[in-house]
Amino acid sequence: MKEKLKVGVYGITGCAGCLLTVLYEECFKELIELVDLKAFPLVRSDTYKGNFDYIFIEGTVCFDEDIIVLNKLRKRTKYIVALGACSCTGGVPTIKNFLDQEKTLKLVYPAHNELKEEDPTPINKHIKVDYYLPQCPPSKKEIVSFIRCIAKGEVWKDYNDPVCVECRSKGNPCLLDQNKICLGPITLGGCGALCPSNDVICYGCRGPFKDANLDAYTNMLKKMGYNKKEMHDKMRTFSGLQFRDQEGGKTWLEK
Amino acid sequence: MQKILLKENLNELIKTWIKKYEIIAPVKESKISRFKKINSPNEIYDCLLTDIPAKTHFMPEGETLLEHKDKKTIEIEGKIKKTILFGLRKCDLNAIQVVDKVMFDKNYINKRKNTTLVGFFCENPDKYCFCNSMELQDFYDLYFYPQGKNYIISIGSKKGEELVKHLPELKKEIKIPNPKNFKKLNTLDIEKYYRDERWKADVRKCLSCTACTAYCPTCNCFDIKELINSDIKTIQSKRFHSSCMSKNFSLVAGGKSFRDSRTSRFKHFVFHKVLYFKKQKGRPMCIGCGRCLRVCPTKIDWVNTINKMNRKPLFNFSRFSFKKLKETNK
Repeated sequence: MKEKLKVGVYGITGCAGCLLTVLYEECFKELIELVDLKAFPLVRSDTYKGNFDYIFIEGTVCFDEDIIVLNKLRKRTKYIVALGACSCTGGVPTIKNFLDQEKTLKLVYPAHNELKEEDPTPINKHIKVDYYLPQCPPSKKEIVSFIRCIAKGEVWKDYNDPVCVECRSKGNPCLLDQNKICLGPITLGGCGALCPSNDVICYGCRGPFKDANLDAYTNMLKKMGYNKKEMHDKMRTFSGLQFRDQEGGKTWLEK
Repeated sequence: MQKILLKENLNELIKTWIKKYEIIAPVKESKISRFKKINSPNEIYDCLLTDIPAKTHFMPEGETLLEHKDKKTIEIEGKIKKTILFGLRKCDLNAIQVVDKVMFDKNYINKRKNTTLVGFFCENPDKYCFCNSMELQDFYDLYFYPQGKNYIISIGSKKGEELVKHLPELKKEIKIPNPKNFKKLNTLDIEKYYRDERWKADVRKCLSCTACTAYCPTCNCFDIKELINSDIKTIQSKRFHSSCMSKNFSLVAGGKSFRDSRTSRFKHFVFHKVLYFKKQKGRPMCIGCGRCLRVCPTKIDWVNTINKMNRKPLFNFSRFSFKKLKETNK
């Protein structure tokens, strides 16, 4: 019998929703049976000081302490897995990058002006990340198949098509035809088109699709009668930073 | 051979079929019409053209093809009951004929053998239909044509004949006309338009959302994904719809993609549908149902683009032909 992989699940600044997803029966069963769960600070109080094979990390880098934690974890493991939208693309906290920094700090923490803040960034700006499991919260199916995949020693393949591919092959009515801003065509798929299947627009929580045609998309929305602000509000919800990078620097979103 | 049936008696005929067969017919479900199993003839939705084509019956999403266990591979055969596909339009029937020429796996062939195709004349075509330009053939087991108070039923095969054995025969055969069209594709010979600049206006609008291929009744490309079971010993190979409009489609080891630009992907889609398939199999792949035009979120109309090129062909100034000219002059 092969020795089981040593796995840890950690979180930095975030809502802990992704860690809770791992605690669902489907995922947690796989974690206990297929791999050796060494550390999980959310549910285990004992401390493990050895090295890991895989570490799952949830959350965005928002404070200088987060960077220290990340660098320490990186030295102790072979592979880092970014878990959830926050660690993959920055998630909701990155909205702060597009607002007045001081105002927001005073608004949210009126009494704590001594906080040392960083600009909210995804973890791959600070350490090397090997695998990404995006989505907010991450899909249980994907976590389960990822754990099975590493336990068997197979190569993990990222899904690399826009949300529309799965949505269209499911046969959903298109939300763009109903004059709603759906981010499907420019968002990475793999979620099984969860929101559009339930008549809710795609908010782009899985991050941008690299080969997307942003010009065509923005032109289409303009024809539908939306202005830039409405468009940007939707795009900045989960991955504003990535969409900004995709069009080269700050030119596109600030236009 | 043709048979005759009063329009009022159609429901009764279907009821007799339901006892022996599984019937799949157009049904409207949450704003979209698709082919689905019905239990009574009242459920049938009389629509212009179903949004989702009948190919989902033969190739459903996520169908298991193979199972691997202990170094052995088992081929899983798609077994279905005897089925009637009811309410297919002329374009849908031809689409099945096209896919028959390409698909050869056991799963597909088994399903195809057990299915009887019952066509229906297209009375009110969509504004995007251009089927008369696409060299459609007569391909059916049964084909209903409404005339006055009656349906004229043409019989195309033995499978179809069994279904309407008891009906009276028509003495004088009637020639069934083609459906009406509002749109037309002016030429099928589009090879000379490959280097035309006017494709770019279309491609600039393309989102690569792959709706055209998902809704096309003749698009049969698929991807096989291996999914590991919970005991990590059995692995299942499943078939998922795949699209040539996505960059991922032509990706090979090493990260190279043969059709890197959106322009080349879009052109290949159109040229394969109209020209390349005709060269290989003798008929165009496109059957002119216009679903790709109807479903596109940015309303790309490649039929109009070809018609424009046909009306005003540009002289080809590409570098390649220029060089050739120089060489021949010498």
